[in-house]
Amino acid sequence: MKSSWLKIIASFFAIALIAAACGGSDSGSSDTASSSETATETAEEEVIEAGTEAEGDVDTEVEEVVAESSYGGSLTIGLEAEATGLRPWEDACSSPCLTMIQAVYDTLVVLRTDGSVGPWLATDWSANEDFTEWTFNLVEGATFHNGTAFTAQSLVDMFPLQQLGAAAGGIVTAAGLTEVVAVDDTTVKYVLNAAHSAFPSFLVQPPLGAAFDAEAANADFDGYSMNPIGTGAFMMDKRDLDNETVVVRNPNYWMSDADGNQLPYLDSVNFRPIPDEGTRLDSLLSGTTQAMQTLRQGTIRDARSAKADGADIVLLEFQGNNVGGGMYNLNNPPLDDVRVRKALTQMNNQEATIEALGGTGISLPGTQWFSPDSPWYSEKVAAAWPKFDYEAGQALLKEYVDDPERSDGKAVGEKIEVELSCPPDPTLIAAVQVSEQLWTATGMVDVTLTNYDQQTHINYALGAPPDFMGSHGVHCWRWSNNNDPSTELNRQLAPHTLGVAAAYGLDGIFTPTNFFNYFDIEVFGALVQATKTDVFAERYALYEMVMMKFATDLPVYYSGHTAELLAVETGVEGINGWVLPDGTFGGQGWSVPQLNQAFLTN
Amino acid sequence: MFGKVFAVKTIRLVATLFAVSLLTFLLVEQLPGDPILAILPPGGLDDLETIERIRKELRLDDPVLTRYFRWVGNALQGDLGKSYITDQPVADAIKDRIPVTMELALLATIIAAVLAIPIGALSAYREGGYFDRAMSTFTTAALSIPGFLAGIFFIWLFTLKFNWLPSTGWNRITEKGILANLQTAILPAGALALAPLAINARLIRADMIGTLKEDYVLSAKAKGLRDRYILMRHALRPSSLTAITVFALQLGGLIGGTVVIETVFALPGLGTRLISGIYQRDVMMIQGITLFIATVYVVVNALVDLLYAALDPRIRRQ
Repeated sequence: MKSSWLKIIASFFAIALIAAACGGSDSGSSDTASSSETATETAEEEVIEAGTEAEGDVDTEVEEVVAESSYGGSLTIGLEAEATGLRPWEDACSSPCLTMIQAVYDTLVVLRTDGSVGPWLATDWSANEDFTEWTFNLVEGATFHNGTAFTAQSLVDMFPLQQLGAAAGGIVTAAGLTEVVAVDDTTVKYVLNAAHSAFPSFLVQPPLGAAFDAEAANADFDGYSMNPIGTGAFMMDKRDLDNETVVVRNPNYWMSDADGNQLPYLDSVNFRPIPDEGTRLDSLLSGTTQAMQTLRQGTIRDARSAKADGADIVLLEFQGNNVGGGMYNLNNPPLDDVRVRKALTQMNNQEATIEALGGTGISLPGTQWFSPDSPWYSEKVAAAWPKFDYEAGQALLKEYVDDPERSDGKAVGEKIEVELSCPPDPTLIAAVQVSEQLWTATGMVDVTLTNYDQQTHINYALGAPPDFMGSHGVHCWRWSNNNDPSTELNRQLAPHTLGVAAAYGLDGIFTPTNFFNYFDIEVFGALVQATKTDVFAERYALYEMVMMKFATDLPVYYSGHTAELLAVETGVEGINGWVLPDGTFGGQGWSVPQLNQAFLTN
Repeated sequence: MFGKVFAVKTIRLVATLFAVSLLTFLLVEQLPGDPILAILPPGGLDDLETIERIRKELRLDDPVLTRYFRWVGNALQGDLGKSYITDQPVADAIKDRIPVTMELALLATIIAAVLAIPIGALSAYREGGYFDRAMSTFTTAALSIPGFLAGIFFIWLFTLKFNWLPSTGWNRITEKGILANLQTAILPAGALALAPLAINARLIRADMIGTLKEDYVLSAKAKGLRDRYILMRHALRPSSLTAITVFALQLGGLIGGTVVIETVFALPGLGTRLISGIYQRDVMMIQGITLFIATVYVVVNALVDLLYAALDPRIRRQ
C-alpha cells in the first residue's frame, strides 16, 4: 500500500516537471536536439542547422497553390492578442489586429513578395511629374458589407476621419496628404504638400489605405470597432472580445480567382486571441485551432520541434526587415560620444545574444534595417558594420575613460555608467544579460539593468510632450518594416527637437519618434531626396548612405532580424501563394496572413 | 447591537474602498510617460496637434486630484469611464466579463469544497495513516505548484495527450449550453482550485482531529454508531465553520487569482482584460477593474464578518 502511494506521488511530481519543461519557455535549451531533427525534415530549414550560427535565408518559399480549391469550412486561428480595435483610421494595430482588419477590409494596394506595391482595390496609378499628385483607378463593382457601393467618393468621405484619426493622423502628416479628390466614380486623386515618390506605400497600411464606410463610421464611431464595415472578403458575425471574433463569407465580394470563381472559399474564420505562447502552440497541436501566429523565436523553435516529432503541421516562416537590438540615447552622456557607442557595440557578442534569445538557427544577425533578401539590403553596409572585437572595444572605451574632456563629467579613470533597459520578457532579459556581463567584465562600465512593461518601456524612451526627450540610456528596440524605407526612416530621423530643427533651418520639422536623439543633416537630406525620385538605383544609393552613416555613427546596435511564423494544420491551403488581381504573388511574411484565398482540403 | 456592528463595518468598508481607489489612481498616475502616447501608434506621435486635441478631449490636462474626484464621482454613479484604447465603457467591459470570472471562481470553490471535505475528513479519521500521509504530500505539492503551472500541466495532459478537452476558448452557457460551457471551464477551474483545495483539506483535517477527540464523539462511538455516521453528523458539521469562512474569503481572492489562469487558457474574463489593459497602458480599464476586484473582495470580507457577528453573540459583544 505504502509503495503504491509513493508511486502515485512520484508520478505526479514527474508529470509536473515534464509539464514545466513543456511550458513554452523561451530560454531553455533542451529542445536543441529536436530542433536539429526538424531542420533535416522541413524544406524551409534545409539551409540551416540548429545549434549553429544562422546563415542564409530561412524564409519559406512562396509557391503556387497546387491543391484544388474548394468552398466551405471554417478556419480557427490563434492570435497573439486581442485586436485593440477594428477601426483602421483610429485604432493602433499590431499583427493580430491587422490580421482581423485584413479579413474585413481591403486596402487600395498591397505589397508583393518582392516588396513592390501591387494592385488591390486600385487597379493602377500614376503620379504627376513632381510626385505631388497621385491618381488611382479603382475596381468597379466593389461594395461595402452593408451594400453601399465603393467609389472614389468613399475615399473622399473617409479623409476627414483619417485626418483626425489617432492611427491615421500621423500617417496623413508623414505622407504630406492634404486633399483627396474624386475625379469620377472610379478615379481618385491624392494631393500632397510635398513630393513623395513612394506615396502608394502609405496606402498599403490600413490606417490610410483600408476602405471603410465613412457614413456608417460617423453614425456610430465607437461601435464601428465592434461592427466594422469594409469591402473585405469576410463580414463581421460575432465579436466576443478576448474570446473569439467570427467573420463569415462575404457573398458579394468583388474578387474572383484565376478561374473566375468568386472568393473567398472559406465559410468563416474564427480569430481566437491566445496570449500565452505555449498554449497557442498547444492549441494548434491539439486541434483546438487550425493555425497560429508567432513572432517569438522560442515558439518557432518549439513548433519546429513539434513538427520533427510528427505533428501534422506546416510551418510558414519569414524574416523581414524588422530587426531587433538596442538604441543609444545620444542625449545621455557618455552615450553622446561615438567612441563609447562603438566600444559597446564592438563588445556586444551578437551570436551569443541571438542564442540567448533562442534564435540560433532561426534569426539572422542584423547589420542594417534591411534583411539580406530585401531589395534595399547592402553588402557594403554589412561589411562596414562593426564586428565583435572585444579587445578593440576595450581599447576604445579606455580612450574615453582616460580622456580628461570626457563628456559625462567624471574623473579620468572612473567607470562609465550605463542604464540597460528591456521589457521583462525572459528571453530579452537573457539577451541583455549577455551585454551586461561583457561590458561589466571590462571593469570600466557600471551597468544598471532595468525592466519595464512594454508600454512604459516605450514611454520611457519617448519622454513627455512637448519636448519628448527620453531619459533612457541603452534601450532594447526594434526597427524597420517591409514597406518602402521612407515610411519609417524619414519619420524616425527627422530633427528630434525644435531647437535642432531651427539650427539647421528646418523650422517646425520635428519628430518625437527619433528615439535615439540622433540628427545628421546629411542623412536627413538623403532621406528627403529619396522621396523626390522614383529611380530605384538613386533611392538605393541614398538609403545605403544612410545605413553607412549608422555603421559609423552607431545610434543603434543589432541583435537579429525578427523571425515570424504562421503554423497551420496540414490541409489548410492558399495562404502561401495568394495572388494579386494581376496574378503576381502577394505578401511580406505570414504573421498577417491574407485569408481571402485560403481553403481547406480536409 | 447588530445594527451598530453593521454600521461600523460599513464605515470601514467605505474607508477601505476610498483608500483602494486613491491608491489605484495614484499608482497608475505614477507610471512613467504620458497615457496619450499609448493611444497613438508610432506614426501618430509626430502629430503634436492630435496629441493635444486628445489630451483636451480626455481632460487629462486637469490636475490629478480633480481627475481623481471626477472619476470617483462618476464611479459612484456606475460610470467607470471609457477605455482610452478601445472606447469601450469600462462598466460594459466588466459586465461582459464578470460572468466568466465569477463562474471560474465559483466552480473552483465548488471543486475545492467537494474534494477538500472528504480528503480532510478521511485524513483526520485515519490520522498518521497512508492516506493521511499521501494527502499531506499532495496538499504540500498543490500549494507549492503555482496555478499557471498546473494549468499548463492540465493542457498538456487533458488536451495534448488525451485530447479530451479544448485547451483554450470559452463556450458561453447562453450560447452553447452548460455541457459545452463546462468543457471549457473545467480545466482552468481545476487549476485555480488546487490551492484552496489544499488549504481547506488541511483546515478540515486539523479541525476534525480536535473534534474527533471531543467527549460527545467518544460517547457516540461508545453507543456503537457507525464511523461514517459519526464522521458526517457529529464531527464534520462543527469542524466546517472555519472552512466555510475560508471558502468565502477565498472566493473574493479567487476573482483576483483568475488573472493568470485566464491568460494561460485565453479566457475572456476580467483578468485577461486587466492584463491587456496593463500592456496597453489603458488607464481607465486598469483603474476600473482593479477597483471592481477590490470592491468584491472587501464586500465579501465584510459579509463574512457580518455573518459571523450574526451567528456568534460573542463577536457581537466584542
